[in-house]
Amino acid sequence: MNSQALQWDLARGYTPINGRHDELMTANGEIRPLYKFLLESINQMGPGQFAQRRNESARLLQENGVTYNIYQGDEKNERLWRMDPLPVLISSEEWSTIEPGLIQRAELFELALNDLYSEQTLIREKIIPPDIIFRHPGYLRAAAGTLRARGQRTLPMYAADLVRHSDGILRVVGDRTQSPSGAGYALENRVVLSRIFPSLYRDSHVHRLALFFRAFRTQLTQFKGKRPDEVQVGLLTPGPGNETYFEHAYLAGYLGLTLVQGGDLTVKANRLFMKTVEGLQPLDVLLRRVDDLFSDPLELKSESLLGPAGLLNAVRNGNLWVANPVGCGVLENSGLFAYLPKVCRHLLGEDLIFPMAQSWWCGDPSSRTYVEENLSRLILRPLARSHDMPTIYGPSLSNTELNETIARIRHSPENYTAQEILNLSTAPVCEGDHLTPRPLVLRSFLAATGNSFSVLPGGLGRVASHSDEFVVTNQRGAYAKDVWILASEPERTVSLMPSSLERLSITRSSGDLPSRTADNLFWLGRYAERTEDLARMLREATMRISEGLTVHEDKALRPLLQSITRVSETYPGFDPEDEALAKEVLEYPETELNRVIYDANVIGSIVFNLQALVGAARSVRDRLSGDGRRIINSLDRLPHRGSDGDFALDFLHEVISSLLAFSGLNHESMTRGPAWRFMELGRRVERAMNICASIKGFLEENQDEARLEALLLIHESHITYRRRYRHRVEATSVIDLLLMDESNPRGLASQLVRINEHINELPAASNSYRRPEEKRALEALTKLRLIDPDKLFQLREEENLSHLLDSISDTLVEISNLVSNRYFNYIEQQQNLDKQL
Amino acid sequence: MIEFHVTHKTVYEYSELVSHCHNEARISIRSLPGQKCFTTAIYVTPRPVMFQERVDYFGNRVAYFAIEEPHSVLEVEAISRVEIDLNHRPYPIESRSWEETANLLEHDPGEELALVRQFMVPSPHVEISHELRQYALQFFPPGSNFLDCVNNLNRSIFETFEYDPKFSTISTPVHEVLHARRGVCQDFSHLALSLLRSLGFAGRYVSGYLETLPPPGQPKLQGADASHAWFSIYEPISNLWVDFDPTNGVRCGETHIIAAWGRDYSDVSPIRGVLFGGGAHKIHVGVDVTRLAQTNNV
Repeated sequence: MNSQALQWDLARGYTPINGRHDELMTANGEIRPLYKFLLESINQMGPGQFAQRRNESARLLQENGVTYNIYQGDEKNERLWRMDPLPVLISSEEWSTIEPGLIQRAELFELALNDLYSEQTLIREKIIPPDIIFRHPGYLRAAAGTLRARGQRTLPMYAADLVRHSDGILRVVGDRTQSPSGAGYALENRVVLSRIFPSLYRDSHVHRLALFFRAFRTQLTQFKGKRPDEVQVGLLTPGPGNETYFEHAYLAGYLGLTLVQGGDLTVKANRLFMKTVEGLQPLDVLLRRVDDLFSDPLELKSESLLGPAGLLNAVRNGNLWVANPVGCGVLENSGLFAYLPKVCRHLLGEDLIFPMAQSWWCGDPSSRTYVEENLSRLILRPLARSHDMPTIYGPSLSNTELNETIARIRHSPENYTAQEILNLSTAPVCEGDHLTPRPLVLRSFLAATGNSFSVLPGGLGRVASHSDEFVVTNQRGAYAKDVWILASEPERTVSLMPSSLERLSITRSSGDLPSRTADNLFWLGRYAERTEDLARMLREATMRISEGLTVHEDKALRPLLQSITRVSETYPGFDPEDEALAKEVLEYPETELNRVIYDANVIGSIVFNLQALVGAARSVRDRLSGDGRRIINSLDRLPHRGSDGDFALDFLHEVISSLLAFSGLNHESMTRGPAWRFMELGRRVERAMNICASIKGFLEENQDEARLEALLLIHESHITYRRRYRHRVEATSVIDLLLMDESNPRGLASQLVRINEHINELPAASNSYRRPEEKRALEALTKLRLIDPDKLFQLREEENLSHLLDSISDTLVEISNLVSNRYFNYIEQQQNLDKQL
Repeated sequence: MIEFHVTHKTVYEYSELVSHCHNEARISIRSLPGQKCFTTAIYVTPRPVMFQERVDYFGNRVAYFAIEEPHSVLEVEAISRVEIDLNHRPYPIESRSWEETANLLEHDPGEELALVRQFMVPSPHVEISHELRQYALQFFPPGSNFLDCVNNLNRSIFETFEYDPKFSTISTPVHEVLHARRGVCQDFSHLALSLLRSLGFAGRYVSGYLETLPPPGQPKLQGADASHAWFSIYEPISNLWVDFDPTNGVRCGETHIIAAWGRDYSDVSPIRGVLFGGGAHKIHVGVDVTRLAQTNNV
């Protein structure tokens, strides 16, 4: 070990903020004993290695596609998850004092939910002011009587936001009861951190997270006495546009649940079904990440497309369990804070254990007076979280704003709660090569297990991006931190446990492929192929042009450019009706080439196709391997490299190699189930169509050597051809290689053979006759097999090359439509009937 | 005592086939003191694969049904037999000044009042505002009797607002109705509820039916040919609800048949549904309330 590394101290110069508790350092400037081992281990790594591991963590997060969608006005941006490499440490002694308080709070909330939606004693006996419930938009009367399913828990998941005040004591500042998010991010943080600090993680004796998730999964698979492996569980997500979609896909994969969206589901005979490529498959349990109000358009928000009509009735009839049940959102209620100690005594007969921020519900006249007088020292929250009514931070208000706010409180005092401002503790964040203190909020997760609750031994730490921020939210751009609960003092023993999380071993049948997913996979295949084929043509054209060739010298250039327009359907492009215009654009093709490559607004351009491809891939994220997601993520970032014509070649090279890597990966590592079949089918159909279009474009008018050669190049068949026919290039043999030769993977025949194979293997209703799409595929292949290449350039019009290519092309379109109608026909226009008298 | 035969038929005609649909109907008639509903039979065509009845949060009867066969016409008909006997419907004997009433509502800690609070706060179609309160105060002179004031407000809506089915949709906000002074029974009921809740009173929305042909010598009431709506106001001293019909400017009598109630229209819309396909649709609603028998009290 070199002496320089020994001297390096990451915490050198670290100064906590005056008056705040700091997680790392005492007020005297001493490192807390809990952090000594961590800091020493990092110091031993030295600055170089530490920096390297930080880069590694950023790379892992980026490659795993860990994102959080940020909303800015109407714009939505997917932002990479930012993680600080230093975990927040909590000793097992402190943890043992935290756990009971959290469990009590979860139990209390569960009892409160049961009460509010049935006996209503909390309201009747005015344990809480009725307005707190009746004014809360989350109190859903339609859900009354559905929350407490027989044998099921009412609050399967609960999360609490905790902050540490200057006295060093953790307090609750907020609750999540509707569909708590963040546990998946906590898991991903752990995966990354345990990979970049394997020995530190191992030697720190950190409580593992897997058991918690396993217990949670067990809870989810308890349903009406069925065997757990018979219980069908789906994870309902609003879709890729949701801010935490990454987490939904991640958790679905981790827990072995089928990721579904509202449109995938239907209720028949009071049972919930998922529309899959093999027909309707029943679901027993739904882990729900769609908000309460959007879960059932029949009984709740009628215009919602995010949940299936009839969901609540399926629950009411005992055929479905939803976790968390619809209606839990009423407890995400700032008004409740002030009355929780009373609620606790009423429902549990004991005092509330976990301390929380002091609160004043303005519906109470004396509280309101207090709030009005002290607003500049308080945080003002609306009763329910909403986008229109943000949290107001008293100290930042000007006098005018203060008066305006007070006027608003007076107008409807019942809608506001004020909370004391806690001095958020700070945690060290790596900034450059040093540490700075930043305010910290912890989210703890609980899951109903057995008769009680289990607490995730860890959590999601979030630190503000500026030290003066008082609210830490992902929407404002915070850093995440892993939370380590240390089992005991670190000992240098080698654990036999695997250093990363154990995966749950779940088997997945292929019967759970939702139609929407199959549709996206099919189009993922088509877009990948479309982009790759077009990129090859563009690369060939760009190379010729950058060598200084023009349409006059290079006879292949004009058909090449025109084929680009035809294959990409970016008309008029290089193929305008107007002759003068055609002359102009062919003479100076650079502008149009750049447009077809970079312009995202041009439907069919490379960048447009890449975006469509990434979109399709995002919505099947849970079906792709980690490597697959990595490639997609790198493709997603490619278009942002600029639109400089000089670098077009580099750009196209990169696109092609990434797409090749993607197809190679799918070929090598996807199981040959329906998911793979649909993606492959999309790819083959697309490639076959492109071959037809380009051959027709090149050879319709004449078949000179330059054209033939260019055609071979863009179809990657040049080398094969040269090996077979060393001397000259001639039409019939090119046609044989590109159309007829079933062993040429870039040729049309091989695509049709595989299309037949895939279609025959797709899930089918029991019917011994060939389905229409099978017949069409067989027809196209047979037609091709029966032609005589010698005659293609001689015969009458109805038997010539163009005619053959057109008819195969038409059949391919027909096949694509038939497959869509049979397997993807899941979207129906949904509307409501309730605006009449 | 009067016995009525009530039929409420709704026909939806679609321009394209509906592949399947889920519906909820609140077209059964509640039983309550002074009103006894013997039967409500609901007929749905095409035949639903699932038909279930239950009682909702407010005690209304709800029918859920799902149709899975493709159809271009949906018919829902409810046929009820109801007996109304206002001698058995208690009416507040004493009512105090509106100020005292409001005060009682604000401060009485009774259990009953705790649940009544949900009819005092804003709801999806009922607004509370200073402006509405100011408008309402003209009908509430200091020291006047509470129910008299409500009656005046109710009459004033009838007298100064125009019944205009073309003006509003179900999502027309109350302040627009107030400004335009026109609307239909739902609008008038929501307006009255907004005015009364803005003054601190508890009011709920009632859906129901009117006798189609009035007794000889009485005018035919507006809203008799469709399902009707009005409001009910809570009188805390006697712990009773009293119904007023602002569309006709009257206190509800023996020809007002109460079907269902809630905070506002959104809780009791007669038929709601989610359907797949269908294109555009046309609706025909027919309500017929006929008097079967009248027995004078002995």
